[in-house]
Amino acid sequence: MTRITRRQFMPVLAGGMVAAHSALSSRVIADEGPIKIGGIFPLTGAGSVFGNQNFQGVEIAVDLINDRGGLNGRKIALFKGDGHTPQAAISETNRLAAREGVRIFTGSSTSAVGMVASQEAERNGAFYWEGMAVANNFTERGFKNVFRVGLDAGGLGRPAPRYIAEALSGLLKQDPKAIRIAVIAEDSAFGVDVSSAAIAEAKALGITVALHELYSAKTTDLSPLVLKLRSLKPDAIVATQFINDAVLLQRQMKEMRYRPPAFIGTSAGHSTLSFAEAIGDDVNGIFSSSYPNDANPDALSPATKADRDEFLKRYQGKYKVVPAVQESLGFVVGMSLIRDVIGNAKGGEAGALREAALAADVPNGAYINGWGMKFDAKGQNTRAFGSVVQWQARRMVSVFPEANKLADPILVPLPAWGAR
Amino acid sequence: MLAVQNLSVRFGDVLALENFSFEVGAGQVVGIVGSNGAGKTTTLSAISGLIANRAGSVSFDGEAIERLSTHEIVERGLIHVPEGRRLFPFMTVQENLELGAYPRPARPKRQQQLDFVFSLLPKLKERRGQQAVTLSGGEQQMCAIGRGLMSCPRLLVLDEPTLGLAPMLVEEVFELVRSIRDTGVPVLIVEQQVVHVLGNADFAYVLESGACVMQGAGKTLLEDDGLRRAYLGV
Amino acid sequence: MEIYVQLALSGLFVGGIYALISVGLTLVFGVLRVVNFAHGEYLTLAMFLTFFMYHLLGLDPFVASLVVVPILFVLGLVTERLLVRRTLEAPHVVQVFVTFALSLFLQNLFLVLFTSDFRAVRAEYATAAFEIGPFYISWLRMVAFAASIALTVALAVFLKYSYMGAAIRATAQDRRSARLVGINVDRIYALTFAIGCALVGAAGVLLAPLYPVNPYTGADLILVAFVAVVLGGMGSIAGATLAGLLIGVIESFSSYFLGGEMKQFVYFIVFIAILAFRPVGFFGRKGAEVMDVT
Repeated sequence: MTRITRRQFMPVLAGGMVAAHSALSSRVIADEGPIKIGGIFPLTGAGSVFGNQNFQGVEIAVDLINDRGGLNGRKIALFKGDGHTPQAAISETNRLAAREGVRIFTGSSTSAVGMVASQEAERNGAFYWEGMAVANNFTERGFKNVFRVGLDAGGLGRPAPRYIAEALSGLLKQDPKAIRIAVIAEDSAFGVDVSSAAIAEAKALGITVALHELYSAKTTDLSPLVLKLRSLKPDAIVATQFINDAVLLQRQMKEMRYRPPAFIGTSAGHSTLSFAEAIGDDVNGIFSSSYPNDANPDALSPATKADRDEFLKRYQGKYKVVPAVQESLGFVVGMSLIRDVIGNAKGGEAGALREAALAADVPNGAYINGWGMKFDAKGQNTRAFGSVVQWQARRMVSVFPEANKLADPILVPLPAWGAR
Repeated sequence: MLAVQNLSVRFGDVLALENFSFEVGAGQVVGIVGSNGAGKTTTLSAISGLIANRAGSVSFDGEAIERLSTHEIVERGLIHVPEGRRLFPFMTVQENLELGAYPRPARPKRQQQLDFVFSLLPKLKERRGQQAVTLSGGEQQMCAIGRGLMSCPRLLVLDEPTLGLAPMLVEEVFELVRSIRDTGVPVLIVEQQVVHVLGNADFAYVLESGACVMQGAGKTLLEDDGLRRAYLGV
Repeated sequence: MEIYVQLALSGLFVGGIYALISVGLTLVFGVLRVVNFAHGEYLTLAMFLTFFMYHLLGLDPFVASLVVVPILFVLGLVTERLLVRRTLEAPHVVQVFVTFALSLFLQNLFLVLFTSDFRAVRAEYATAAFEIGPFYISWLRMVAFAASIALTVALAVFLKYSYMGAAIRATAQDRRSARLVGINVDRIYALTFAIGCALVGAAGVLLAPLYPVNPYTGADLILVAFVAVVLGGMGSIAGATLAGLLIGVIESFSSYFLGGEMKQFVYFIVFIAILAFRPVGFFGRKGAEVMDVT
């Protein structure tokens, strides 16, 4: 109970203090006082699980940089904007731009929010830095000052079939070309884009896609889908799901005594602690193609290793839980934006930040998840890559690619329910 | 039995009833007549607690009841059979009657009262399983009065019981009123059927625009020229 | 053939819970003439209460129901007294604002108290199932279905054969006459609202081990209940039950044969088609309102 309350209130408190601090200094001319960053995330409402986790990660990065003395002596002030719906994201972005004079935005954890927040930032002549929104067309809109340091849908979906072809087929004693997979996804843009990318990659690798099924994440019964899977007998299931539907599917598969030889989720629901809490030891053996959770420390630079230790220490100190994928992604979003873009820019305006972003050439291993940073002309980070993690002893462990690998995959093919 | 002093009811700016005082004695049939909108139904709603915004005093069997709520008044035996029958349309005749025995004092006597009502109104017994909404107007009225009788009334208040009924049925209703009175239950009846009421009432009041303009024994009023001109067109 | 039976069973099991959620909603509408937009939040609350009793006190959901359902009943009494009663004579738009505002208030209260994390009751038997011939039947879903139907039947019997039940039906059919036969109508409103909340509380207890809860779970599920209430005829308990079961079965078949993303589409098509031929729903009578709650 204490943990819950604190998790909820600490960011509010911290945000409030930051806001109060900035309000006092907002009349100071732009080059003095704190550097203002507006964070547009769904902090309440349906998307708020990921929104809060992302925001917390960004916040840790801001705190860390401030505690290390800020940027050239200037502190970073993080403003909170609750984009619980696209409409709210629009008004919050405009509010922060007009009232607080925020010129740099970051977000957003869902594509619906990220699409409009970035659009409003661009309209206000501000700079926008996206982390988790994966919609493929995010960087296709011709915006000048909008960058995505995180993955697109393909980046999230592609590692699943690739991992099946490279690693799982051998463990399943199958020829990659003889592998049949079922691709299932919730039916929002997230599920559609990610599962389509997974399918395209699977086909390119010669894997047969026996089923592509979409369903609403709000469903209370997935047993018809389980029946279908049972009759299809795929070698692996690739699933793009949120939390409640991911839990529901596992439980109903267990109820109906069905288990696929391998199960790979694509981030979101399968990379959260709630998922493991809900299904217990049955989570072990499940893979998630995802943002890298934990890089192999040997692949990180010494400075990054220090960042990583700081992040883990601070996050666990503040929230009393081990950070998962979205939290560490938030940290990477914050570090890359503040240290490597704002810190290298020749001024605080969008144009200068844009130049700094395009000029950035950060090698892989510079961020705690193993990523580097190099943008293409459209503003997509080409050194962001997806990875595959596996639940082992109810913790997420990176198994793919090599640079992130911390352990060998286990429990392939999946043992019976209750025996994991 | 029932003594009402200076009853006034105001709807917004409109004074619907002004200082109306009347009485119903034990074993009496008392009538309140008047044209549409004269304040008759308002009077009844006020004494049975359906209208909260009322002034004046109402005493029933010596007890002041003007501050009680409707269900408390009903439990004391002042039973109001509303205008337009107002049965529970999708319940059977028997269910309607049984709900009449809802007040606590009436519950133990439910079966006894039901037998009594069926003996008084044998048609209802035939129709007992039928939904109220399917009854004819006259049957509905009988059922409404029967429901009132189920509550073991100590005073039965009937609001326009003959509204919309054929002349033959009107006669039947008044026959019923007389037989109820003969069982010892006084009846307060509000009507536009002036001749019938005055012919049957021991005492009557004439309401006009919310005020009592005339009162007296039924037969006396019936012979009054002014009243005959105003209400009977002669 | 086997697949049809299995799908029908799955659909009925889910439909039973839909029915139980819908029954409380339709009862409150039938008697008070108020559409309670916060009905879903009471479901959420019951699920959270069940979750915390399980995880903090170690109470099995079925034991927890002995506490959760009475809590919801009392909350229903309080809500009726403090909020709903004040709107009964007000225009419908005021009632909508009040219950809708309550819904938003509760959602945000849950968010502050419980965060938006999904929480699942992980009872040992949550995924227990048995086989009959070729069919897999989840114990929990079957029990939830049986309990839903039993509660609905118990409600119908209570309404039909008890004095209090008759008073509730009478109030639904004619408020004024109900007062005149000595029914304390204000008490009936409070009682009815509380029964509605207790029923949705029972649904929450039954759902908690099946489905993870977060502050928006009720809001997500309540849409189905609104459809069931209208389809069954607003205010009709038999109608809501039938419609809830029907929606469950339609969802099950359409997601197997047409794909999971089609199931809402299909039941809305059926919904529109039925209302086109029978605008008052299965058991509707006058306009969109039934006057007999059974």
